[in-house]
Amino acid sequence: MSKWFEQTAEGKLFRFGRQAKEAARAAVCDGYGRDDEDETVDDTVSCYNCRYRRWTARSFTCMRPGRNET
Amino acid sequence: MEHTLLICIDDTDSLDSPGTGQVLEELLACLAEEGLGLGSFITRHQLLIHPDIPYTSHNSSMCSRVTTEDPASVTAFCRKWLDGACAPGSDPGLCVVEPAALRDRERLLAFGRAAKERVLTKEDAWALTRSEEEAVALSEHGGTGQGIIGALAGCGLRLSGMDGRCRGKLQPLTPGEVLTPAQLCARGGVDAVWDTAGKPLPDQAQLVFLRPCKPIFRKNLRVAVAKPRADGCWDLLSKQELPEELLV
Repeated sequence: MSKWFEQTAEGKLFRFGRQAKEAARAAVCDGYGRDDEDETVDDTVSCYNCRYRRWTARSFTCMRPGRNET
Repeated sequence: MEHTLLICIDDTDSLDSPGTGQVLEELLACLAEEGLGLGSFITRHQLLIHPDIPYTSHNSSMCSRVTTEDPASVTAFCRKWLDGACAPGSDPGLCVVEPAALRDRERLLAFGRAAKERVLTKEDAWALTRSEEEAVALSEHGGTGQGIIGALAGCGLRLSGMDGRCRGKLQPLTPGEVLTPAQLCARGGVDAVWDTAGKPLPDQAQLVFLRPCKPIFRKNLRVAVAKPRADGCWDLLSKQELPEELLV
């Protein structure tokens, strides 16, 4: 589906799990919206800190409609 | 007579709306403005991430402690207020607990722990509530009302005094400033300074305050965590520096 995400039953799943901070920063798209400070993992612009990510046990799914799939 | 209550909400938000922590902060401000009760700091409690649980993005609930002369009015106000404050498409739940009135405190503590480990149902939450009618007020505020599970669990976890982290962060006045634990605590927002093993730092410890520090909630205290430096001082830890086990 893309370098960063794969389509699964759960939705668009980030391929690299919950600890891949560099990949999560590189995967940021133009629809990024920072979540509340309480819910972010650090101060960077990263998919891990985006309000459109939904955590799963092993990774997260991107819930942003129409995400740029590059 | 003054009463102490725990107020917890869950599932009040959607992807594009203000988060549950902000919603609770606004609710506490309104309670104070109405002269109904005075809120304390807010704690965030991480619950189980599982495919069978319909959370918005992280499955956490937010809890605070409120002191009041009139618990019934606080509960009624919170219920009415939440009806107008939650995001469309959310599944909000509210729980108000008066700990002093609990018949079986351990049962509520166990419910909180269980919500971090396994999938619970609304019926589980209502069953506990029915057995604690004097102490627990649970209410659904739209959608599936699934948020009652996290709201009740959040009260249990806050009651435990040993779970989660505090909303907000402490900022250095000048990055790199050096403080003792007492000087840091005197600024407000934190009650104690511990090392990563949970041991309080000595009174004379020199804390180097470089980055915003995230307090965690342990022993009913807001705890700043520090790690030793090579020069004998201590670094206060930011959220990204805290060990994973202390964040959840």
